[in-house]
Amino acid sequence: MSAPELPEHWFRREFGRLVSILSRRFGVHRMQLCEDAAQTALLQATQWWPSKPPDNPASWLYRVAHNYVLDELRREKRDGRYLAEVRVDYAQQEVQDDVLRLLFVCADPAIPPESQLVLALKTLCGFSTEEIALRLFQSADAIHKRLQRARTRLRDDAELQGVCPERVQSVLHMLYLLFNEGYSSAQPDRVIRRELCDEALRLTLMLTEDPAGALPETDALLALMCLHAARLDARVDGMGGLLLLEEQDRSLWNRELIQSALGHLARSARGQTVSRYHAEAGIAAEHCIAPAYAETNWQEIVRLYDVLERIAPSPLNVLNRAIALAEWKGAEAGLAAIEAIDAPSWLRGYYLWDATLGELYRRRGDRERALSHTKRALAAAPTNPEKALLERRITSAEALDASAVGTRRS
Amino acid sequence: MKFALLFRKSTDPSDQPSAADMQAGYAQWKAWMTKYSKEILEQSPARSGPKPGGAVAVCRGAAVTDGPYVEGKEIVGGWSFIEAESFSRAIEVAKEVPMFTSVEIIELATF
Repeated sequence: MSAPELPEHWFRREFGRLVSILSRRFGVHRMQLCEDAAQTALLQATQWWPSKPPDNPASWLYRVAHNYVLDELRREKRDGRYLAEVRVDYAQQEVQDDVLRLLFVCADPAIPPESQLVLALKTLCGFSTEEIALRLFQSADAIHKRLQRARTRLRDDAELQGVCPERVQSVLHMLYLLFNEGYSSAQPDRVIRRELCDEALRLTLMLTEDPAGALPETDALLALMCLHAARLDARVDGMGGLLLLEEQDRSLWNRELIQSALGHLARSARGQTVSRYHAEAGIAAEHCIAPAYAETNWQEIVRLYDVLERIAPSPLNVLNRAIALAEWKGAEAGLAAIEAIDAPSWLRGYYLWDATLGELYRRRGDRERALSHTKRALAAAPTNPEKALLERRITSAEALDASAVGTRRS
Repeated sequence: MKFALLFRKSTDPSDQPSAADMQAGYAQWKAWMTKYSKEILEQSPARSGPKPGGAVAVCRGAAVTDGPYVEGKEIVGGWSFIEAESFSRAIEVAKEVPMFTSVEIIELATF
């Protein structure tokens, strides 16, 4: 028999399953031990399977990891009650429940959201501390400390529940953060970012299939993720440069993902709830179903930004709304909307603030203001692709007729 | 000639392979076993042990030393038995063992 071919990310998935099922058997307070056991079992598999492939890889792994935990507990002696051999079937359904359950354990309200995210990446996605640090732009040391604190919290609290409805919102928020890290972070490595998005999608999909987790919001969040993921590849040109929405080749968008997103969005419309995920997915859907940039339903997008602003107020939404308004009613209306924003200083220092103003002034033909804002945006832009994009805009603003300055608004 | 290969790795918890490393490692193991399928033995040779005064070496990446000089922080993480026409061939096989920090080669004798 030859060694089994394993699908991509198979080890990562099995790692999460093993930690989940073991921590249910032996208690969340033994998470570290369960992780060590999963690690050992997978490491043994890399070595032994090429020459002696098992009939059932998943149950082989479970047996090895389970024995590892028993051996360690035997060594500790005081845990004699765990020594009775527990026979378990490694059934798919049960495992999936366990992974979800652990996701809910990670969503402990006493753990800060960022640390929940780190905990989930470590235990469910099998990322190493260094990999998490790389993905979340923090030092490995900081990640390590977050993990330690989160684990201590889990160890000390015996009252932890599994899949409980009160935590669905935190779980959704955690998955939202995870996806955003992949989608809009400054990390230049696209492969890494894609992986984060895939993990978030995988876990959210799982949540929609669970009775306790399948809220309308869950479907809305999944729709949002699918709609963004569908456009991930079209966002960059052949050289890795960022493309504006209006420059993207829409034929590169993943139609299948968009279709399934629209299905989830339709399902999310049940009940009375309208969450931020509903509003954000609605906006993304409007972009995805528009046959061309010019045919986008900007009026509906402006309305959805109003909804979003009511649910999750943020000056950033108002800025985005002004951009949509400018597309709908012209640069003048957009500029007026921006002027009406009571912008906090962080927003004024944010490169998109100046980039938007620069672009709207350019459309109005105001060369001087277009240049000064776009240059300020360039100085504050965080990544090279974004800088390159702004430089292109400066070139096009410079091409404006200098005499057109006279069209400045009176 | 028959040899035992002892694979050693670091015990440092922060130095353990991630799931992605292990997935890559699995493919490397398969490749190693396919490449040296003639040399790698299915089972440990019966009634065998280290050959008194036999050849011994430690491979650490490209470096090969003639003694069992082991780092303090290493533990044995696995082993294989191989049959090779010469000691230098055994070193070639050992040099390509994936995922481990060092491989010790011990010549065996059958009793």
